[in-house]
Amino acid sequence: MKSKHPFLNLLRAIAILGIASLAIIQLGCTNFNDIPPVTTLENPSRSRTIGDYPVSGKVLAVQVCASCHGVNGYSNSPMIPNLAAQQKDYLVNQLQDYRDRTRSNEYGVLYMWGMAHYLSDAQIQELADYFSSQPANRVNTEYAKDAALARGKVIFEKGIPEAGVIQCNSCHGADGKGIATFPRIAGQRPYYVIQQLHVWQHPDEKKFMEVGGNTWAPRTITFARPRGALMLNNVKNLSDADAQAVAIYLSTLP
Amino acid sequence: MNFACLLKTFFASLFGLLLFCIGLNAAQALPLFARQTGQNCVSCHAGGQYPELTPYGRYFKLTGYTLGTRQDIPVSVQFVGGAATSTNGNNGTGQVHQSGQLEPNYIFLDFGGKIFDNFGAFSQWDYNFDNQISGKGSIPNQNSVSADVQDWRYADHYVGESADSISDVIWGASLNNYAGVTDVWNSSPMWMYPYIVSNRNYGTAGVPYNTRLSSFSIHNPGYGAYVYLNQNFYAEADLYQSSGAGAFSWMTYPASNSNPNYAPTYLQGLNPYFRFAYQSDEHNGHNWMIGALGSSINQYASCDTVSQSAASGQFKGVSPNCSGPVNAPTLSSGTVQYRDKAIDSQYQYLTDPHTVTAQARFTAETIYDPNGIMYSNPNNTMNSFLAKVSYVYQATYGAAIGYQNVNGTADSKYGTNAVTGQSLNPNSIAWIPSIWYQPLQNMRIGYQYTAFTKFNGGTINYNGSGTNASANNASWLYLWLAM
Repeated sequence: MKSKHPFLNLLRAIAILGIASLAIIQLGCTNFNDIPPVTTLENPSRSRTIGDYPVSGKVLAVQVCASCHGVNGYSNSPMIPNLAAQQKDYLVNQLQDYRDRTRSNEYGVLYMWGMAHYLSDAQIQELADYFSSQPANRVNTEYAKDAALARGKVIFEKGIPEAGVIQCNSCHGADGKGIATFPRIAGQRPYYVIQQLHVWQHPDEKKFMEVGGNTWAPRTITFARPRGALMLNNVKNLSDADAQAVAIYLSTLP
Repeated sequence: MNFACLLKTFFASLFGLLLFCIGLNAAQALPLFARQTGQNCVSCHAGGQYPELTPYGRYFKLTGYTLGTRQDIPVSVQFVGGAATSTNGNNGTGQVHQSGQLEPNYIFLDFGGKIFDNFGAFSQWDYNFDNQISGKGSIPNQNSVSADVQDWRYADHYVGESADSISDVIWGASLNNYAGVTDVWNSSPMWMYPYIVSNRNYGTAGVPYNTRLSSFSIHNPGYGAYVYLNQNFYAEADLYQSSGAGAFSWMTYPASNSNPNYAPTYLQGLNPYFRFAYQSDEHNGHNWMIGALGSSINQYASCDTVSQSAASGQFKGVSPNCSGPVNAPTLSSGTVQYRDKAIDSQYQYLTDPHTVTAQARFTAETIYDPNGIMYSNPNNTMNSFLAKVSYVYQATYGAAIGYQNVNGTADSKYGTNAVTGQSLNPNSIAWIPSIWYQPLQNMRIGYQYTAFTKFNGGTINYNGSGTNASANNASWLYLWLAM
């Protein structure tokens, strides 16, 4: 700014700032999302949009969810659950709980709160339809010779009566495929199952952490899965070694 | 009021407004892509070590930054500040004007994200504190604004039946301003460790010379297309052209034909860059990639070309070698031809609480300068090998070590020995360890050290003036914030 009139330059700067401020305030700073889709530039059949306008659940499933959970509902990461052939009612419940932020297991908070934040009821139904109808056609052989398998099988079929652990198959079905709101646990990844069991094993566990979903301030989250309250008594006396054994056994079920 | 002044005012206004809007809604104080996806940074950045990408991060970039919710205020800000010091005091080779004190280095303004369903951008502008302006030696250091990273993309993603041999196709086109900026692997030229460096001491970035295809070294407007098949096979080709004038000149702002302090890089015609890669599927948290890339650059000399090219002038503090009032390509003397071929590879293990990543790239380059525009030899070669391994625990505590080894033909471009008068060679080796702590996903405190075991071809007295390689060692304590 090599002007002979620094004061004039200052005035100009203030004027520009003022006009630009007004323009942005007029735009509202908050209301772009209320603008309906610009139809010629939007692509509803292959969109990755969340919340801007209602994209069908099938499109969201393959364009967004599949990037972690797989197009066929088989994820590639041990941290991420398989959704193939999962019970539809269970999926609906979980997506609603993520949207409402009542399911607060750690990775759910980090990754799913934001993803589910703008889902409509219709989208949740369609997503649940999509993943529940993917066939369970992969058998995990990675733990086929694991030493903990036998112990896991006993817990799954007979429970641990002395510790108050009820056998898994009493609710999750004889082969672990679940029924209605009871999830399919057969073929699930051990890392994921252990994480979830941990939530019920330690119902008071808290962590000061950041959360997904457009929330700025880190906060203390108590990890919880309220809809799984039945699990609380079942696993409160489950040892970590037994949790691992049963998780490994479940992963080998078709 | 000239254009630069207007632009500065514009940025100042924008920054003020940004703060104003943040005041309106504290939820906006997260980086743009985190707001857009509603997810934690660690979703896309391996162990939270920005800018390293996870498989999901690669998907996000290759689909044109279009996943998520369009943002009300598509802007975010990054700040880098810290203290850079060196063995050699605060006035040695490669040190622009470090004070050794804590001082601001950069503010980055990031625009873009999702714009339409198939169109998005990563548009980063930097505000460089107390920058060393190249021009003619008489201009004092000053704050400056420049176009940093530009990547404007159109992208689409087809998903077919999984039984099909081609069941998944991502394709797109990019308008960008650096060769390699479009890449999604961190063994690529633009996105390799070290990630956060000081503008006060370029030793924090490592070796003083590198091949043409390396970070920030092909800075020209370019456009290209890419395809990613089954999320395994990747191919991309781009063409880069002269900057400084025309519709794309904003991408290399403030370099222009008429700005004597910032000379653009003049290229002959369209200069190709290509990239192929095979990315493995993820298995139990492990994934790996192997790739090849290359470029062919024909560059004209211009008044300021020597001081601007390949950052070497900046490292050595060489003054521009001619005093013409206007930047112009010297068409009559032909071009310098850089041919670069590289192979690279990356490995990642991503399962909380452990993140392990490793990258390596080897580049072989030939430089043909028949008319002696920039080099004293008509034929030169340069090879560069860069590698890094890092470990992050709970996306919070991290450590990394980088290794850089560059060697090539001796040439007066790299300086001459003060005693013998012989040309120096660019052979240099640097080790770059660092540790960092991220108490929040968008805040990093780090310490990084660069140890040179070879510099300009020697370890002891490499230049005849008694300078040892270790005199260039740099330490860098920094704070990085993003919001």
